[in-house]
Order: sequence, then structure tokens, then C-alpha cells
Amino acid sequence: MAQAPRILLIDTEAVVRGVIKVNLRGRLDVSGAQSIDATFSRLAGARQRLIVDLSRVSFIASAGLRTLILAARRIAADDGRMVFLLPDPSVESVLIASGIDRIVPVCRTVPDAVQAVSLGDGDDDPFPDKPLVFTLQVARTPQGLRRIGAWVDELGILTNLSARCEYALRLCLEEAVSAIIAHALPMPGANADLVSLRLIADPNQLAITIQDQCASFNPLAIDEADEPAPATEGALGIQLLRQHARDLAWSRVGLTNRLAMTIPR
Amino acid sequence: MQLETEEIAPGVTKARLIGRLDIAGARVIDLPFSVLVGARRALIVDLSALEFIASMGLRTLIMGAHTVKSKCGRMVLFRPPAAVEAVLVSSGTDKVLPILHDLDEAVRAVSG
Repeated sequence: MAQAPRILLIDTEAVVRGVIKVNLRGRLDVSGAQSIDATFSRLAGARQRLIVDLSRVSFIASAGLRTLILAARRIAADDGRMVFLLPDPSVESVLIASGIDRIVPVCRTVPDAVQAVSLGDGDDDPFPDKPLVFTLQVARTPQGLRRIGAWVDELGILTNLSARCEYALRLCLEEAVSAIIAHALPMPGANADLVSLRLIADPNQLAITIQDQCASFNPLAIDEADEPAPATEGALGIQLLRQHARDLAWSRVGLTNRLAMTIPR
Repeated sequence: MQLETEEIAPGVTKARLIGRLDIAGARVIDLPFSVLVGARRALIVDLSALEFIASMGLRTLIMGAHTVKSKCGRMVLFRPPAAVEAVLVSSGTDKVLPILHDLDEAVRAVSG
């Protein structure tokens, strides 16, 4: 792209009757996100049909993503609909990596976008109750834990988690992964530097699997000898994990430790 | 994660924890909190702006309590939000560190 403007430029145009196209141009970073917020608040109204043209957005950061998701939810709550149009491949990969493309359709042409926002009269729910799957791989380090914290922030918005559920998710992931970081021993020949997380969100619960390729290590065994009060470091964390998650189960599959749990919504 | 302190009565310090006491947050306040519990005899830890706590944060608070106690001082926890208070109670931390919601009561509790 040619020299992209440092600030985000926004203009709106009517495409067909009842459908508004919001053209974004420039960088969708923290300050860009604030401009969008103001614009969408001005556009608020019942049954909005919005096409968000991303074809001239050069960069999108998580603050920008969050603003778009919140706008999409507000519009859906007012019986409206929103789609994205023609993102640049690098912007599109950010949309896909965050999972937002499962909530807001991405269209390639204006006619497709117009059709997508005009679909039905509320018979096609833009936020379907199909399970949503999210995955993340992090380094088995404190840096990796920080990334998990940021992932929970995004998931909270993407899946509309209650404060209680988001707290439980944050706590369970932190306790489980920090136990793995602290106690699991690398195996020669295996990729022991990574922890893989997979989360399936359905309307009733979050189902989480955490995998690593260290030597056989079951975090749930840490506190089993410590009734009633946890004496060893790490046992307190597992005690909290048990209080916030259900169906906790550990298994070893080949060279992989697998910890599974569910968190009710 | 931030730590703000003020002297709210003669010899009584109120330390406010702001943000998330996750592993990253615990790391940030580790040193300033150690300095605080090493130096103060009457300490009220204001949790009203604490968004999150897990085992790492609990350990920081509990170790702080032991340090204050070992120097014949007193420490209490003040106004945790509901989600944080639930974790403090379910982990038994409230048996080591009293939880109070009234500031005058907290001042009395640490002044003895």
C-alpha cells in the first residue's frame, strides 16, 4: 500500500436503501479504535445494516478488534447486522486468528456484502449458538503466561463471558499452566518448549484442553497428599483450580500430557 | 498492577493494590510490597481496586502477613470485590488475614 495515513480516516456512504458503508482508512490502533467508537455511537439506531470497508486499513491491533466486536454486538442487539468488506491479507489474517470472522462475516465484494447484511429478517442469527473453537500455543515461560492473560481478555469479549466466568477461566488457565511451567521436565527429542491450549465455547460451558510434551506430569497430583490444608507450594494453586473448574481430568497420550476441564457459564 | 500507599492515621498505612494480581502483576509489586511489609507495623491492604487474584497473589499476601506478624505488627485486608473475596475465603486466606469492609474498623484492628 502507498503511504498510509497515521490517523484513522472514517467516512460513511449509503450503498442501497437502508445499508450504510463505513469506509475506514489508515491504522486501526488504540487511537483509531476511539475514533471508531465515536462513529458507531453516532450511527446507532434500530436494525442497522452496516458494511465496514476494511480495504484501506493498513494495520489492525487488538484494541481495534475489540472495538469492532463490541460495535457488532451492539448492532446485533438492536436487530441489525454488520459485515466486513475486503480486508488486506495481513489484516484478514489478524481477523481470522482472533476468531472474529466467525462472528462477523468477511465479504469480498460490495454485492456480497449487501446480500450478507440484508439476509432475512432476524431469521439468521448473526451470533449463532454453534460452539466456537479457539486455540493458542505459548512458550512454556512467564512470557507465555502473559500471552494467556491477553488471550483471556479477547475471549471474554469474543464469547461474551460473564465476569464470573472470565475470572474462573483466567484463574484456571494461570494455575494449570504455571504448574506445568514450574514442575514439568522437558523430554529429550520432544518439543517441550510449548504449551497448547484449546477452548470450545458453547452456550453452557467452556471446555478446555491444555497439552504439553514434557515428561509425564500430572498437575492434579500435586495436592492429593495435602489434605486438608495445602502445605506444598503449588498445591494451593491446584486447590483453587479444583474449586473453579469441573470434570478435571489428566491423561498421557503418547508423548503428550493432556489436562482437560470445563468451566460452567 | 500498581501499589499506592498513604498514611491514613498516625502510624497506620493503607496500601492500595490496583489491577490484576496475576503472576505478571505479582512480579511487579513483589519488591515494593516486601519493602512495605518489612517496614510497617499497622498495615491495611486496600483491595477495592483489585480485579483478580490467584494462588501467586495469595502467597504474596500471606507471606506479607507473616512478615508483619514476625515484627509484632498487624495487617488486614480491606474491601475486596466479591469475586476476590470468594477466593480469599475458599482458600482459607481469611483465617490468616482478616477481611474488613469498614475503614474505621480496619484502623482499629491494626492499631490495637
